[in-house]
Amino acid sequence: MSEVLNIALPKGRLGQRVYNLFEQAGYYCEDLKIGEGRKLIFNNKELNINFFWVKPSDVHVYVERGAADVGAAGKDILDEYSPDVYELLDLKTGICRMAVAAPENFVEDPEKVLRVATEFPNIAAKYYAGLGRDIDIIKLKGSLEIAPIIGLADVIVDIVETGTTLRENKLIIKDEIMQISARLIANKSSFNFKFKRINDLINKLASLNI
Amino acid sequence: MKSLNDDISLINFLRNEELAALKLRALYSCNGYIGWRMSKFEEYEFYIRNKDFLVSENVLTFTDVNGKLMALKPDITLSIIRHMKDEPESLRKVFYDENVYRVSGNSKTFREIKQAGVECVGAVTEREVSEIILLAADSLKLLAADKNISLNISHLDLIAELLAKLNLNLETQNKIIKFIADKNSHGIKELCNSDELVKLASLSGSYKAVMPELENIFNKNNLSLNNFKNIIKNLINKNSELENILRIDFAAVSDLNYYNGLVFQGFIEGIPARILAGGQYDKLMRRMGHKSGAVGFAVYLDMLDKSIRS
Repeated sequence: MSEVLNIALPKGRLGQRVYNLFEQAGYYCEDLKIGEGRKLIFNNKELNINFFWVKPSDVHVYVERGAADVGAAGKDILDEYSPDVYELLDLKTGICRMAVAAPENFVEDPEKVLRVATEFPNIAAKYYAGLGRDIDIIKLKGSLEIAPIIGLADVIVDIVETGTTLRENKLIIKDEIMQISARLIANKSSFNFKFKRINDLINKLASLNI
Repeated sequence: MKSLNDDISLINFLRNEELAALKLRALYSCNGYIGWRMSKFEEYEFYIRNKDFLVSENVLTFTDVNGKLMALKPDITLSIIRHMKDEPESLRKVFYDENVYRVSGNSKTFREIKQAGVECVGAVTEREVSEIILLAADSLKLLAADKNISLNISHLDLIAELLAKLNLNLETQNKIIKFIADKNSHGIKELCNSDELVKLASLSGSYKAVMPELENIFNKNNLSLNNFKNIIKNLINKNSELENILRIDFAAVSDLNYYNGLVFQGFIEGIPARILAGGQYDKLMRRMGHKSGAVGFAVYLDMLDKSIRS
């Protein structure tokens, strides 16, 4: 019997998309399809795999600390937290971009410190450091679009998928920082000791022609 | 009131990491390494000059009575080199076990961390490099008890040769090195069209499995490749057990400004990150004005408590 493979997936829409890829690659769990409930751990004894559903911004923590051998995390999360994990494959799903957005009529005053509202302070800081721009980061945990409207911030740095939310709040994209998609990550220690299992998973996912 | 008598074994009173440190001291002493004790502090400036050599660049500082800005030691190797006379013709072998002060992992706070290590300095040849790798494997075995271990080895000169062919600027080069450390082949593909580098980054496995692949990438007469091959082949020939422990994996990469030649990282099953890291650091020696060669490694004993308890 091969050793057990623990897989951490992000709860929500991205996790569902990633799970579909895993299923196509032959890594599935019957209970998981039926269960829309609150259960967070699912296993397939035959394949000897466990799936954990965890918060999207926690997947890398489970993997870095070895509670999961592999997982799927957005490139935004990986760049923000720089976890000590391997980034093995671009799963090419959950595609979106990190962008700077501001009210349509916003004109930047280069003499003023730019107030940036974001959920990703490290990505924002790095981006503006590259431009040599002095900024004041305002860390928020959601509904960022309000910040420039009510005068809390000048611009926002956020994930943009379709752009609908921005349009509805009369914000426009000023600059694109990076392209984002889900990545297959692995614990650096597990990779050695469960090499065959993890390597099989990479090959099967890669052969889906995603 | 009880008093200590001969029946009591003092070893029973050691904490896990103290016992581990003691075992390593014994191993290194038995192999002819001399203990090195660091009881003084270095200037802050000394570490900052070599900050990329440090595991984390944050250094705890204090002002000494004479007004000088000093640092609590974040690293031992730099001090050993600084205080050792440069004698390129002879061979000096030292070991240490000390507390170091640095930010541990993603904790974002300073920790006191127990670290042990060995350094071999002077006329370092393939023989000394092999000896250090053997000692690293023995250290892992000693700490792992019955768990599986893996000593991942790479050769920085091979990576440097492929990078040199591409004529990249320093920034892109550093990004690629980070991608190699992360096994991020898709990232490398985006930055440069070197199939060889992409291949190199994805290689991982035993000598038997990986060496033929390397021979496809590099010329058969490549000096670095032959050096790599000789060292690993001789080690396995001497001790067949090493065939299952040594793993060729280029994700074991270190800063090219300090390290060169063979570098390695050690893992123990169940411990989530590398517990041992080291390699040849002739470039650090040159930066510090020394002519000697050097090779060594450190064991991060704090990692012993980081295993997943199921």
